Amino acid sequence: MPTYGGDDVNALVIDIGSTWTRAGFAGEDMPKAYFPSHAGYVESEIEVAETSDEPKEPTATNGDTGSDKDVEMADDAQTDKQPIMRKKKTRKYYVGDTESATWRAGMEVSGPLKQGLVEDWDMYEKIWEYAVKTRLHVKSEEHPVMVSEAAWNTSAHRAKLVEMAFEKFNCPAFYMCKTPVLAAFGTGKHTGLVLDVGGDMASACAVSEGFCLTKTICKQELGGELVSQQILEKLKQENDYELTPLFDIKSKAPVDILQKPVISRYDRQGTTDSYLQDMRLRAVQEFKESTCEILERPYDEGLVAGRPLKPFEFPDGFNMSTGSLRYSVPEILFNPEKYMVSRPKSLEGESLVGVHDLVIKSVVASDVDLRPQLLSNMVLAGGSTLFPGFVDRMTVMLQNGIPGGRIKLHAPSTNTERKVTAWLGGSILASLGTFHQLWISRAEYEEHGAAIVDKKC
Amino acid sequence: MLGQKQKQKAPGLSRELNSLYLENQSIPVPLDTFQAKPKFGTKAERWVWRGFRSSARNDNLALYHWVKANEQYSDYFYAQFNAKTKPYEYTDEEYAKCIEPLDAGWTRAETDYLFGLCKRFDMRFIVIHDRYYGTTDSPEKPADGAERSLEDLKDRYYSICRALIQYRSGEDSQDPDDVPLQATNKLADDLALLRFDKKKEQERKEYLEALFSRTKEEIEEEEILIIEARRIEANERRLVHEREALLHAHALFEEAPASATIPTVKVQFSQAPEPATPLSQNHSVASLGATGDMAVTPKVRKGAPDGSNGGDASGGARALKKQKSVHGVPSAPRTKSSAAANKAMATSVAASDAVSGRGSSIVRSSMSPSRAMSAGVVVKHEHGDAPVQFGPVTFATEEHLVHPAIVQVDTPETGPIFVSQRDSRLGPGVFLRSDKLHPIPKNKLDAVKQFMAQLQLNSPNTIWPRPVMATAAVCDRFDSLQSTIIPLLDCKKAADKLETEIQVLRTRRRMLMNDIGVADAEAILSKLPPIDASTVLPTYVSPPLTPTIESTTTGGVSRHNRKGSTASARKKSFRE
Repeated sequence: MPTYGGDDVNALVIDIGSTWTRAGFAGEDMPKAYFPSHAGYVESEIEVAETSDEPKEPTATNGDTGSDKDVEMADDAQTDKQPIMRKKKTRKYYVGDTESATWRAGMEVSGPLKQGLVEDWDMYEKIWEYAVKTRLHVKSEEHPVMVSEAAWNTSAHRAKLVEMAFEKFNCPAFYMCKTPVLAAFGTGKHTGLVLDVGGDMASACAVSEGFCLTKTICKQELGGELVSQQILEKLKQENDYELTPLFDIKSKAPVDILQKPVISRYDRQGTTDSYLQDMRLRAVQEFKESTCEILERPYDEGLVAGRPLKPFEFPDGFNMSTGSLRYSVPEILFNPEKYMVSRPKSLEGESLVGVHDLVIKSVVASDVDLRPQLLSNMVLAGGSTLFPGFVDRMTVMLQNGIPGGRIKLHAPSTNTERKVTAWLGGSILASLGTFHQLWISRAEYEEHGAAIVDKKC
Repeated sequence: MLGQKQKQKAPGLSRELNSLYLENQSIPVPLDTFQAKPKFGTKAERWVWRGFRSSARNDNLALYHWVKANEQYSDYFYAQFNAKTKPYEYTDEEYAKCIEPLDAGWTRAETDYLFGLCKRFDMRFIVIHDRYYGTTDSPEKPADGAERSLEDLKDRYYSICRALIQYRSGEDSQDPDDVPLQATNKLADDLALLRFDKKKEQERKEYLEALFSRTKEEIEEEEILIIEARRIEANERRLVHEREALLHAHALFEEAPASATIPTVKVQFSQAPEPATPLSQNHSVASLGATGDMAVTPKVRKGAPDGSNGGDASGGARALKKQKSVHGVPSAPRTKSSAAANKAMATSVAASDAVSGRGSSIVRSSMSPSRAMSAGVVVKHEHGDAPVQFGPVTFATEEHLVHPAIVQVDTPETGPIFVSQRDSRLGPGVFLRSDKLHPIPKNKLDAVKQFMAQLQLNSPNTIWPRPVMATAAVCDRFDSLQSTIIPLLDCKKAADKLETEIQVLRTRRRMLMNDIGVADAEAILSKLPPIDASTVLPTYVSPPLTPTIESTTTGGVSRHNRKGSTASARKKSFRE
């Protein structure tokens, strides 16, 4: 047996985040598949046989079509009533980087998660299926599967997930682990405070010896996507510019700096708002990743004015040199109340705090004996921590906030690694020889039902 | 030959090309070493994709991994790491008898639940506390918000464990006297391990919380205070050190003639109040030693560098070896702790006061070591309780004083011999007499050389000042000169320092007086008690120096300080 403690059983690790999905084989250092979680779907009406005692109202758009079918079949078997043909909405999903970005008339784009919890189970299933079948090219019934879940995942969600794993995908064994725990493992720690700033959510949570402490979870809906949206808003307000994504541009001509873009459009009919918005976000994400930075010290206009400008050209030809914009918008992460350009509807009435305050709150919520360990093992995970200067700024803010503590931040040095920290932790965990006793097996699931997940994970 | 040549011809090389080479030179030709299929010494291991079951699982899950085909395992390799903690468990009877009465605030169901969590989370109380109300089978949250704290849970668990241990041990043997000692010890150990003081723990956490919630200003203030405290401490230490050095320098200079006998005298006077001649002093020491007054003997040992009481053979030699004083400097202040130094100095000064009155008599009655040695005076140790009677040996010639220490050397043939320490550090064999001279400390070497140059003492040796004609008398004299110069230089340094300090203080006083006005200042001054010089520096009240030293000193210093430093001049005038 190998001495390093690893024993590969060809497990799959799937980490479906709010913006990106990572999937791959346990024991590898990078996920084989890395694609956006946002998927497109086209709704169409088909006629299905329904019994008269079915509820009259159409199925909710985000309803679980799979279970509906089961019910129908059962009903068919039980009753001998005359089936009534009824129109029913079904969705065809388009998952994957190119599929979801391809323009289709009437295609909506959305993500499967809301506030870190699975909202659209169909889409979740499709993403899972796409990752395993299309990207990893394996059969899901041959491999144990580990998935990540949000720290604040509910019991009902977990039960549903474990049901999906065993009923839909026929996994031989299954396990789910909380993202902060995986992120801590991914940086090689069993105890620490994990700050995860993802696309949708920013959350801080203490992890003690591989257990996520639920009382220390501090979260808010303030992530990288919000920053992208705010950039769009800011461009609209300051430069009266609305971005035209690539799919609508037939041809373009070069323009001077800060001039209106000169383009001819395809004028595609049936473009949905969500698709347009998603494409815009993709374009502005490039802007965000290549120009935006976070000031290493508390925000200061004078300091920002001294920083060099960065030129950027959007896909439609609009180009500009950004100075203060590239610092002030990401500043939302640290001071949302002040630097928010325009509050999205979902955040109205909520009091937002900076990410450093999340961390401090989380530390204060934990036991006083644990705090020194947490402070010296701060783990940064998630794509939105990749802004240049984020780590330095975080250190400064935490030192100001917790003056007596010895604070040490641990962030994987390479950018790609930080994007997949949680996946990496799962990859390490699922390839450990000692871990294999923890899998929920099919036999256990059949014996105890979905409730087993609360006992074992 | 030709046939051989033909054979050596490399393949693929034309005859013309081959002939271009000289006959007896080898031709570099690439050899065809490539092997399409590498050959390994061992056969490749066969690996197979094989299912396995682990005894750490209680279902029959078969997972698959790659293993070597020839390796067989009876159990899964990593199952051995499946270590589980075993929290205490109790039966219904035990619960009713010993746990129930412990705490009325806990129900059986909740206790069971707590022990279940302990088992599930392997006694990680932080996690247990975190999940306590979060699981599906958890107890109802108390309505008044008084949730179980971490200390509550720990306290409950450990108190039950203690009760269980006591109950079970009590069950085995009713009478505690029947229990074997080891068992009781084990019981005590177990109980000690399970001790949990809830109050103390809560208090500790409160303190930690307070420490954690300090503001930045508070922490900074604390740091400043710590730095300040350190500074004050360091200052104090420096002050004590400086003062000590100052006193030392003075004591050296002024007690030089009598220093050799000081320690003895000090002991003498503290024990025997009546003035005595040197001879009788030693007698009294002897008698004290004979009566076994151990409080005195160690002091004598320590403070008898001149060996006048060296009769105490066993201790004397050891003590004297430690003696580093090479210039006849009394070692008492050096060996004492700094705290006691001032006091010791004061007493030694007092002692020297007392001695100086008879200083001449001591000196007169002493013998020159060289003479004592040359005269073949070998003082043998008389075995017995009383120390040897050995005259107060202060090594001095008639005109000047040298006070090297005496060392007792024990040889099997001769028995203990008293040798001047100066001589004892020389090895056997031939040596120059000038080697006997005390070495000068390196840091003072330049100053001493300069001084000697001013005295117009030309040395043939440029590295160490050495007398030109090193006869015994010259060497003795040279040594005494050296041992006078060095304390003198120390003294001058101290005086210079004091002088500058006084200057600074004067300037400050003048500035202050300018600030507040002369009239006010004088009014303040008049209110102050008059300054007594003796309280400021007690060592200034000291006996006059022996004429020899006086002349050397004043002459030397005044020459040295002609430029204008008034330190020594001031001191001189003070003495006069």
